[in-house]
Amino acid sequence: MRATKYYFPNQVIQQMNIPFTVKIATTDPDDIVMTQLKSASTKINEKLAQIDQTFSPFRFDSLVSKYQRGDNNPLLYSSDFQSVYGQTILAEQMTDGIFTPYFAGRYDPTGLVKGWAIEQSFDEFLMPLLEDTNIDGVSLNGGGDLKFATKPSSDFHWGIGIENPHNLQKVIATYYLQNGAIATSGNSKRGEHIIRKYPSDVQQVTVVSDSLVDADIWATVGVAAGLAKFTDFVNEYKLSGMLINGNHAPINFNEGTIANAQKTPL
Amino acid sequence: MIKKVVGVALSFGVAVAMAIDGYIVFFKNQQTSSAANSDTSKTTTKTTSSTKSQASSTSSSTTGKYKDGTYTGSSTSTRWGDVQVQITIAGGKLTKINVLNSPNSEQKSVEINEQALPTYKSEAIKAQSASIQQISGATETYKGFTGSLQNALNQAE
Repeated sequence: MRATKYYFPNQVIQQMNIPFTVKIATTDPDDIVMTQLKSASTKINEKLAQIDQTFSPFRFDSLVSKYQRGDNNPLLYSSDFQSVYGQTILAEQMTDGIFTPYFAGRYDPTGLVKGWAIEQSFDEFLMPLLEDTNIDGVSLNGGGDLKFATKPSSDFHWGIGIENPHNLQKVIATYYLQNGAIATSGNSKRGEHIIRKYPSDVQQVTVVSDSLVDADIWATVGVAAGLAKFTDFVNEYKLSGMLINGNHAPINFNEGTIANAQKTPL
Repeated sequence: MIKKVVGVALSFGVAVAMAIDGYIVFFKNQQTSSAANSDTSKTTTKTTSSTKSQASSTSSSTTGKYKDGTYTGSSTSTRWGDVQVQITIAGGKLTKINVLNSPNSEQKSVEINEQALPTYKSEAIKAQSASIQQISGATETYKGFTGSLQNALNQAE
């Protein structure tokens, strides 16, 4: 029996200063499939632009900017703002305050909004594409954090390479999964809403989850928390993923326990 | 003629039965589920750690245009259960923000029904592009997208 041949047509969107890759897995990239991909990408682009308008702290008229200036209307009247607000506060509590939506004394949910935006766009515009007979998988990658899904009847698995923090032209490991979310954080301080109160030599953390908001927050927190503190979170919240500490080999964790990697011949 | 009458009567009966069914399935269910929701959220009310600072910093700038009372926002389903924001207005000012969380036992467990363990290979991307379609990496490395692994993969289709 011959393995099924898949094609991976994609569209790249620029929003929030990040490239987003919309990619599908199809056995037959015909006109109908390509039209669906393009139409979904257009809608995702609009959705991301709208979320950026609403949540960017750099836009004067965004709800976040209004709220920062003392206007309570966003909290009273926008269900999106309420949803994001509620999630940031929960995330802060859950991570012992390592993840915080307060940045220089101001409320700024940026650290959560990207993952939430990907998740919203994915559920609304990409999941329906799996109804097409010729589309086996859908995925949305925003600056290295992604959500993916596969048609229940398909045995297709997404191959997701994890960037090697010591050599960005190489992947250090690959996950083969059908449904879920993966987020990776590095130790650069750019735009990360985290409190550094633990010693950390963590170079990179990848978290695999069913939720991208969840994966993104834990990956970010893992880098800031350091190995010891993060191990407690891994145990308590049954996290899955991999961590690179200093120059050491990656450490894998799977549903809360530290696990050994599947070794394959190089 | 009698056949027709019987046929019409039968189909009318079926339609009535369907309507009743529909009522029971959609309307009744909604009622019970919303009742269950309000129960759980009541018992698991949490007050945010940042409530105090938030309330004091915003109360000075509100102009008393809000009606007093407690407002509860719409519920959103999240990884950590349903989340709702509850706001208390007193004397026209926002005095309290609560985040209500009703954890859903189903959502606590991670729904990845696969071993989330990676495979290790350190080849260059060209050799792997057949088996890798997406790259997860730190966002800051995406600044130079044209030279990135993701871009290389996208070109390969």
